Amino acid sequence: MTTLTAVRIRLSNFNLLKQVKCDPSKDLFTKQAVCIRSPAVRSFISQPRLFLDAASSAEFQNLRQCHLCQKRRWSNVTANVPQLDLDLEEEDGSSPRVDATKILQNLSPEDARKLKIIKLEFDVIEQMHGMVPEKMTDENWLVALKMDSKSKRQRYYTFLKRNEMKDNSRRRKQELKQQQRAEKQEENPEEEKESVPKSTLFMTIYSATMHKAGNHRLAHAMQFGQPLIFDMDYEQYMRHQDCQNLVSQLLMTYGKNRDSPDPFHFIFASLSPKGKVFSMLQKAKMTGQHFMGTMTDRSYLDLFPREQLVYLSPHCRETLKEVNANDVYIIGGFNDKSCQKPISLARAKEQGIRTAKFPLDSYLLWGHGSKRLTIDQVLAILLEQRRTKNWEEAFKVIPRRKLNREKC
Amino acid sequence: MSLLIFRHVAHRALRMRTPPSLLFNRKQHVSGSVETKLPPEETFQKRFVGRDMSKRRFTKAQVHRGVPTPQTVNIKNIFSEEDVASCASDDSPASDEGIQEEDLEEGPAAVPHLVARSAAMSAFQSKLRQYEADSFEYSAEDWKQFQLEACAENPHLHKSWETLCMQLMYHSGYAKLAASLVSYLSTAADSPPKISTLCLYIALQGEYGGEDKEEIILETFQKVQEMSDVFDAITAKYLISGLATTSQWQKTLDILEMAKLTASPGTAYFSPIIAAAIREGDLEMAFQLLDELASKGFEPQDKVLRHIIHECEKAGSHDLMERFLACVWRYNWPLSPTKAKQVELYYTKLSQEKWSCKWATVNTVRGTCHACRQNLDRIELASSDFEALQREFLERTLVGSNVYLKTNPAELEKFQDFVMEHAPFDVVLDALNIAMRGSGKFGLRRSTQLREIVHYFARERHMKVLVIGRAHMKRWPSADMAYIRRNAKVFFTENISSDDPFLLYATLYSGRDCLFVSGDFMRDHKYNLGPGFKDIFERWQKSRQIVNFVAQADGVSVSMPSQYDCGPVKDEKGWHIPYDDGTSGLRSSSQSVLCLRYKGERAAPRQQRKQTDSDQSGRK
Repeated sequence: MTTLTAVRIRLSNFNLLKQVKCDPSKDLFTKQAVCIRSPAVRSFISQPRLFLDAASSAEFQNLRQCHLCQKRRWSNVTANVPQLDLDLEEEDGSSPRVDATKILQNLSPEDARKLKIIKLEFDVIEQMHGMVPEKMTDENWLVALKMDSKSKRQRYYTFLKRNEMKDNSRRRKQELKQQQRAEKQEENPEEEKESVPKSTLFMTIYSATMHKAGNHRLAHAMQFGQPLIFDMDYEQYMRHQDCQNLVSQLLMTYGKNRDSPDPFHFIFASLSPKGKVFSMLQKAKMTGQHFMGTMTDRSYLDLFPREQLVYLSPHCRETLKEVNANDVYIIGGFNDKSCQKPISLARAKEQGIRTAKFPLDSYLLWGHGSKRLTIDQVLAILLEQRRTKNWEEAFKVIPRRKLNREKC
Repeated sequence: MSLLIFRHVAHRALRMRTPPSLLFNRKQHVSGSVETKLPPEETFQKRFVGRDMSKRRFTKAQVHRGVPTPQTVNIKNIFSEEDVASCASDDSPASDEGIQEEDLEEGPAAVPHLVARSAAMSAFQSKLRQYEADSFEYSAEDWKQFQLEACAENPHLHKSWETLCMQLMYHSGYAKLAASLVSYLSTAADSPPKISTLCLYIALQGEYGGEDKEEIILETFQKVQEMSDVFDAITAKYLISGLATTSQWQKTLDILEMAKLTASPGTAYFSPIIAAAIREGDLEMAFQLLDELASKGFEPQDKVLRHIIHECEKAGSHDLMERFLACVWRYNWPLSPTKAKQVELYYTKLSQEKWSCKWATVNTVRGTCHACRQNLDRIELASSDFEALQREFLERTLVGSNVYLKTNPAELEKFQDFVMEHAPFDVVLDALNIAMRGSGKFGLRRSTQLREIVHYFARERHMKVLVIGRAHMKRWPSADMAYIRRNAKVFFTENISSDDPFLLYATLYSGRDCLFVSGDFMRDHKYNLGPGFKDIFERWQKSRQIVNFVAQADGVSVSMPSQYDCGPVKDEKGWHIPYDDGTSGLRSSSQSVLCLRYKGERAAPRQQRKQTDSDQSGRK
């Protein structure tokens, strides 16, 4: 009976297959029922069409409201979290985003002179064959103007240059691919029809559909799921480039969470709408209606009782025994490349919150490098440990290069 | 089948035989073909030269000349007069400001990596290395051809080739060749010379120029001023090192001010100006700038000492030299071997019959010089300095910006009450550091190791001992811990607090005679105290910290800290001037010094020493 609903999975949806632990190349066609065992696919198939089509529409938001009355463990707490009402602000025209061009035009004479010097320095670094980006926007100049030493600026330029190079190479590869495709088509135009999917027994799931299914799970998590807090109050300790890296990590984290069968409810606490991290999040389109999570400028202390909170900090002594479904974990939204003080531990100590770190030492033999993990790795460990109750399984996301490979 | 295996083996053998250089070239070629810019020299050095580029290595130029490192060979044998002169002229154009850039000064000659991406450029560089300075010239035609070649190879060089060439010539000292490049750029080339090229040219002329350099520098500076009315930190550095050698050196002060707007200038900015001020006899300005430099935590380059010696020789008096040495003492600048050699040369050359110079070591625990058998004065930290350190320590290190980073308020209060109740102590022990010492290779358990040390101080030396550890030590073997508790006061900090600042605080609180035992150099606490306290803390630490101690089954050996401070010290018969040859440090009990003895009948004038004493009032 289940064989009839077997689903043809496109290669881009491999992560789905990972959840059911099968080798996509072998198992896909021999065990037809395999896909249906995946909770993600099952939830996708069983859900009403309405959710799929209207996942981000107003109707869907209404539905979300209706479900709030249901009595589940987390629903009472998270329903009261005030969302930052950002869309309204933008409509009012009082957008918190700063207009760098305007600021640069209305500089005080001293700052204008400083900017002139910095621009000269930029040219000189370029003439000396240093690492500088080809284009500097007004925002970039504003950031450079606020830096007080030459080496800081130079590091910033290097960061910009690296990003520029990455963009360029991606674009070049895309163009190359398009060109090759065009050439191929020119050679034998009959093959063009190949790209149209053949009539098949299996249903094709496109990634947009998968995203909708993911969004559905996220919406469910927002009502009933376990909250996971990101403490966003670290902006003062981070350089501009660290903030940007943080935002890209958060994007990856969000994607990983959406792909998991039982995602967390993301709460971004202490997120100041005037800060640079927020404007970067806005730029990355992680705010507004599409974002299936909560953003608030309140502290997590206002949202949950202290006993429930656990701060995940690498500097503390207590290790986490297992990921407890009744606790609310806090991850510091902090890229500590430039500031390596135990700030998160100090904060937890001050607020009297429990702290915990992953039991890395009891399961892994660490090789080179620091024991710092990125935010998306932390999330993957939490998700996997909660699902399997197995730390070894969970720690598989840690890059192998960091471990001592000879002894492992 | 066998054929297949054979092919496989042959292929492997071939692959293995490929010389690494060839592989490297191929790699380079690949990365060159992708449109990438090169990393700046800083990242290059980190990536390719990396950590083994120790600070004490000589510059490439010196290695080329075959000068061995100071650690291995006794200094007096290796330096001929020429070497010193050439080393001195080599105290080279620091490539950047700031501390980490200071390292680069002694690293390989700048910009080798830039050359790697273009055959024309590397050919040019090796040509510069091969020949003596100014032994060959390029005509405008040659330059044009060179430009075309280099740019055809690597289009990125289009913007930077002239500056790169100028940098290479700057580091090799080709003044005439540089002049031909500038004249080519300003007459024949399609674009006028860039501002960075001209500034480098000014610096080059300042360092290596001939007799007409003043004229050239001022003329070029005029051009630079026309191009821009502001200067950034990089151009400012080059302008300063060039302009300072001319009569218009006072213009450099304005440029220095401008550099301060966007960066924090280091010794490469200050030293040329100080040297110029000394040359022109503006001593007030010179010493004011030296003080400013010292307050930023830098020390002057060799050229300052060179100018001082020159002026002293001209005037025939030691006044300036002694004033400088007083500065060296006050700011705790270790003299480099090169500088020490310069000082020695000065004293021997100036009055051959009056002074005898010896390279010697001083035992810092007993305070005797090995060469002259004379006892040095015991130098104490000024009480005002000690009190300031005592007062500020808690606020600056343990509390810092956030008291929760290292402790918490309740614990801090508890500790303060504890110290107030039981102080003063004679010695404070860093329990975890002592217990972990040698990580078990002395054959004792951790707790026993600590117990032995406590026994040594409490029972054998009859001192009042404080032991500072962490709370988890309470679970250590109870026999040892009970003994420790009986013989010493014990304070355990929380497991997540840092224990070193507690140790230092207790020691400071107990007064200036209290010792502390730890193998830790306490660098981060020194840093947290800020640059103003660096020397004071170092002096205090050197005289109060017991770093060398071993607890073994057959007894304890402890070596007491250095009691004698070896700044440049003057007594009736001459000087002891310490220099840094890499052997002295917190762990060693000896200090290399230059022992200068006055041979004449007349004792060296005592008065001048008193004058310098009054300069350092409050410190003695």
